[in-house]
Amino acid sequence: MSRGGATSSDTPGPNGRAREGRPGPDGQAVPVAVVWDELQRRPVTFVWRRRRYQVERVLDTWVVETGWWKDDGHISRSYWRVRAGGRVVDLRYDRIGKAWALEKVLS
Amino acid sequence: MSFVHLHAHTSFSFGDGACRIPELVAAAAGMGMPALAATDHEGLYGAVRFYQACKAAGIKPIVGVELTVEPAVGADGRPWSPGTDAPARATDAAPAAHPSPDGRIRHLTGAATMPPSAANAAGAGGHHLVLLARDYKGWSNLCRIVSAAHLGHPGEPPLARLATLAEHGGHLVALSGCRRGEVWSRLLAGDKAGARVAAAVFRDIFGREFYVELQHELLPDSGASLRALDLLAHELRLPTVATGDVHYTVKADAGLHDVLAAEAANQPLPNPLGRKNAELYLKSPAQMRRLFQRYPEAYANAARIGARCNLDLGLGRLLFPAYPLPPGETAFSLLWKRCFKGAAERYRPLTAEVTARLERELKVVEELGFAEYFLAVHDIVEFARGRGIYYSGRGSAGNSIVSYVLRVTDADPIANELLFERFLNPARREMPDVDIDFCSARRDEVIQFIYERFGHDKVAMVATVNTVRAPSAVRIASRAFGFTPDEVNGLSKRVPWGSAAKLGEMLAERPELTDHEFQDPHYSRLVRVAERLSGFPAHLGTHLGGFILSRDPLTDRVPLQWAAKGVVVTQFDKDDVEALGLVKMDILALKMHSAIAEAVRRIEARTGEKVSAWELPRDDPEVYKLIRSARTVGLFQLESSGQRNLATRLQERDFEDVIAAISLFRPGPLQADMIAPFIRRRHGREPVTVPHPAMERILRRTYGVIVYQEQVIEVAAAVAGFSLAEGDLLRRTMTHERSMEEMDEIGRTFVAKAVARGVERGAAEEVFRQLRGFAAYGFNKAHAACFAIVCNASAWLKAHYPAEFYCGILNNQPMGFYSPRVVLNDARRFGLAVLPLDVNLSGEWFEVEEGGTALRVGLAYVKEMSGAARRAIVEGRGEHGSDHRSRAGEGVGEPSPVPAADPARPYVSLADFVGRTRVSREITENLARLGAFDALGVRREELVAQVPLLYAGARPAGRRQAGADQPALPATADDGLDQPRLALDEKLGPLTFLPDWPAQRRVSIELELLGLNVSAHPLRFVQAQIEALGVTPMGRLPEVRHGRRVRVAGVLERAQMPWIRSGHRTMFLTLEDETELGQVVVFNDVYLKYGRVLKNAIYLLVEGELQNDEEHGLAVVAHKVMDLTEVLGRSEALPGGGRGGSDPRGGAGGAGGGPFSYQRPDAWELPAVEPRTRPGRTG
Repeated sequence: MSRGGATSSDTPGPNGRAREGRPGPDGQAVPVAVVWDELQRRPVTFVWRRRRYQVERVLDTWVVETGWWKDDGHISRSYWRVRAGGRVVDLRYDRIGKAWALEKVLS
Repeated sequence: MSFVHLHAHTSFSFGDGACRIPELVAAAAGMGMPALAATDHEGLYGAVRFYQACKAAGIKPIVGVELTVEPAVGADGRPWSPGTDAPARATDAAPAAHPSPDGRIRHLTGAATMPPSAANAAGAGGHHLVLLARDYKGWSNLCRIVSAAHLGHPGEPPLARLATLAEHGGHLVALSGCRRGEVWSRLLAGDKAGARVAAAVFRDIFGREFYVELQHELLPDSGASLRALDLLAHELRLPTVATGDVHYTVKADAGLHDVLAAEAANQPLPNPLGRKNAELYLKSPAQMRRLFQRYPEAYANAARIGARCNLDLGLGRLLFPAYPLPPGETAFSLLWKRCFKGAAERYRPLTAEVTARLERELKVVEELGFAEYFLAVHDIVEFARGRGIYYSGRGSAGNSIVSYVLRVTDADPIANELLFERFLNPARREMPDVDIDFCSARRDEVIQFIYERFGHDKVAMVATVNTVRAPSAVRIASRAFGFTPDEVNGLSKRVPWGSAAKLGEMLAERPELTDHEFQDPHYSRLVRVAERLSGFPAHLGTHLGGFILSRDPLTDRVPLQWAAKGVVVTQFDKDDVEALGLVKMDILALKMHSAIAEAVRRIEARTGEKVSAWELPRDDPEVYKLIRSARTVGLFQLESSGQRNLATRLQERDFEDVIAAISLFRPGPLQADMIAPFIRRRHGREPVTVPHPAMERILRRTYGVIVYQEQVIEVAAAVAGFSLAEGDLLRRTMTHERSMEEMDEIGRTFVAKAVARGVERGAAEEVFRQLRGFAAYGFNKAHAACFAIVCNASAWLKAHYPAEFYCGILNNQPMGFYSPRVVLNDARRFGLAVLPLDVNLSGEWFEVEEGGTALRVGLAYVKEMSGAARRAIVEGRGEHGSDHRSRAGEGVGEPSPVPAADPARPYVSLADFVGRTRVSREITENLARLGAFDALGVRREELVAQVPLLYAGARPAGRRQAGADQPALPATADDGLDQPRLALDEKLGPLTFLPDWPAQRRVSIELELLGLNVSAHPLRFVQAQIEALGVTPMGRLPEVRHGRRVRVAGVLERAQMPWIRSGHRTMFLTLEDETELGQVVVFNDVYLKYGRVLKNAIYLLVEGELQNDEEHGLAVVAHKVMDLTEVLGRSEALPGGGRGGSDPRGGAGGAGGGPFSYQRPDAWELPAVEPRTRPGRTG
């Protein structure tokens, strides 16, 4: 296993749980630290708001790759929709910036 | 269990596939896959080469297609059923297809360049379905289904009908397709019931061979789609199969696919197909297993299907057409009779040598099973002969006496020492290669005959695959990157025509590109993409004349579709159809035949002499005098600047010399430097020696130099005891690129055989050294001999009837090496008067006048002139129009063209002309500017001013309303006829205050509107200045001593850059001044220094050293190249001498681009052979 990404300093919401949707203050993704299982090629844990989440199940995975022809618009990201800590969230890895982020909280 | 990819798009998906077949196959083999499928959109275009590549790589080819199929579920939700539609037969003839103006196959402009998805979105009304051939019967069914999908929808994107699938669905495996398949697309749209119905329809058609396709594209909805498809399959008890929907071999090529898709959709990036990632690459079995770990059965089924597909295309066998035989005859017996009948006509008296050779050849023809093929070819040429359509066979078929006595070819193989084994080798059963050139104006009659004689379902034309070259790669990439059309033109127009892969190299080396925008690093990504587009299939074209004739209906063996002109073409090129064993024959069009036919007809009309062009004497001294003079413009094969140079050195004296000249001026002999020793020996300045006495007879006509392939075969036989068939095999072996070791091994065998026959070892080794040196470069003598006959006819006509000859050439453009402007100037130098355009005297085409001493410019050369307009002008004078081009060669002795010397009702004024012809204002104005009304007594300067008044208020042509008051003239939108306002007439009064146009302005107008200079050569206006620069006229160069420093000036007519022996870049320029054409040689160092001038200038001033001896011929070796306009410092003095795009005519008006419509030097990379076609002029 390897560790990657950054740890967010975001604080949790009033009830300790994030609202559904974009986790960042402006609806943006927030950086998270992820532990990656190279053998299974999937994230196993991530740290968000100073709390470690165990990935219970990978529900879906997809990739976005576009904008390669632009000087500053190239996007290359892998996504995992996972169930962790009783919630369903989308994690993403930016291959260009080599950084993990929590993109979306679905439930 | 390994995995087999069953859904992959190669570059033959035209815009929706970036897999190069060799790379795709190599990657699959490298991953250990036992098999691989190619499933291109709407066709089997790449199937044969894919099949061959897989066989070579040791994996099993699975051939398939992804078709667009009509909906299985109606708008009312009801399923298609067999009773709701009549079965569509694959061979159903569709109504005539509408020709595509750009010559591309229609469906490619309609569907492939617009991807099927876009076609569907535009209302094509179909869904994707993948079909795989399990065996040859499955292949035949694929061909029938694909053909029906195309032929049933002329001018539209192809669409397969379910009835066709039901009829021809056997021996196929069907997969439900991608998200544009009906099952998946209905699920995506929330129509689960419709998806179930569609799947059930396909299950009914294909039974257990229908699979629900699962694709994991790694898109956000992929997981949900997989679950839904799997559930549907489970409910209907259908098997599933995992596929990769491969569109590029490696992930790095995803961008390339984006660009191709953007080009196909005519949209800039992003990918117009909505693909959001780069996951459609060839994934390994391990990657596929991981993606489909929740669907192990689907994964396993891919390999199972792969194991059940076992297609054998039977490459290598020959499939000859069936020939309808009379009762009691076999093909061989009939061929025997025809051959001996022909021999008795050709050879008088018939000799034992002839009959023995004929018997020997016929025996081989029978053994190889080619009798029916020869009968078919004979029928075609007999048809042409019977109709008076000029033709000539050429190529290696000329080596055969069978071809000669059947009158397929005209060069006597015995007199010309031609070898049958070079044509048909009994040791190799391979396709006979028969090429026949027909009069281009009448070739369609021959084609029509072929269809009717052999059956419309058994004849088709062969396609060509046009690939992306450097300029088109730049256009594709820059369009995808979002540049405007003007920017795209700007970026691409200066890029030389060459391999796109060498774009970076060109930018680094070509002097004319040193200031190209691509030198800016900002464009580096675009340049890289353009380079990677190199060699991709751009679109399918139609072969110039390749036909296949089949014994069975063609759709049993090859897929067909519509092409331009409404002809049916195969989806394969000539190599593919040959690999499949189908017999191809080339029915080519040759403008020279049309020109000769027209000249012959004009000679008879004027003099009553009937000239038989192919029976002319081959020892006419006037012919060889003409060739030796190098005044060969217009002659078949001998007119290029290189051939004219060779003529001054070779000094042809007989027919054999002409054959040699045609053979020597080729890339191979040039590369091997065969010309210089040949000429030295020809003139006795070098002893004629051969290493073995047996070679003396064989090489006596070429002075001991091996020039012809036939000589290689004969030498091998005479020295080493090879049979002629073995000799041909040796020649073939040595022709192909071999390693040093392989060639040494061949040499050892040759020497050992020769020594065993008593040849001294040293001599044997020397013979092989010579064979080795020339085998790869020798030319087919039979081909040259056939060409020499056409050459002889053209030279005879020019020598004896120059006016008719030039008329034939000028009226059948575009053809030959030179522009019509240079041809006309040459006619003038040849002693003919050139008479100007005259509305009362000019015919539709160039005409002969003044007893064969003058040429009158024809109306057809006038810019904007339509066929209807020029007929209206001629018929308005009370004469009959004459379209010489369409009637070229038609029945000698038929009514002669109508000379326009004595019009019954001459036009008396401009208003009279307009009133009677009703041609468009543009045409009238152009005629006035050209002085076509000068003879009516009013200056052209005044008439041009009157034209707008005459047409004031006229309705533009093409927008007239049909009505009883409309003229009984053709009234199409582009016929050039107009409805002028006739209230005004010639009483407009004199406009004497308008100044006369200077003479150079008149020439500029001629260049602009005719593409010719009629009244004067453009350089006449600077003659004094040029003389002051110390320029030697071209016509005086032969008098100047070899080695002298000279200056020449002229119009740059042609620039060629052939490969030459030293490997250095050398450019050959053809300059023209008023006195003659001249050749300038530009070596690499000078080219690098003056490349930009060469690329941009119209008039050149060249300083250099004169070559004027037997070794080099007559040419100026350039030391310095200058733009004459810049040197003179007054561009207005030179018609058309302004810089690119400027108008030197001082606002004289006129449409179109530059005033100078001569052939620009655009052939920077052409080999040094005489191209017979080139882009048409714009006038």
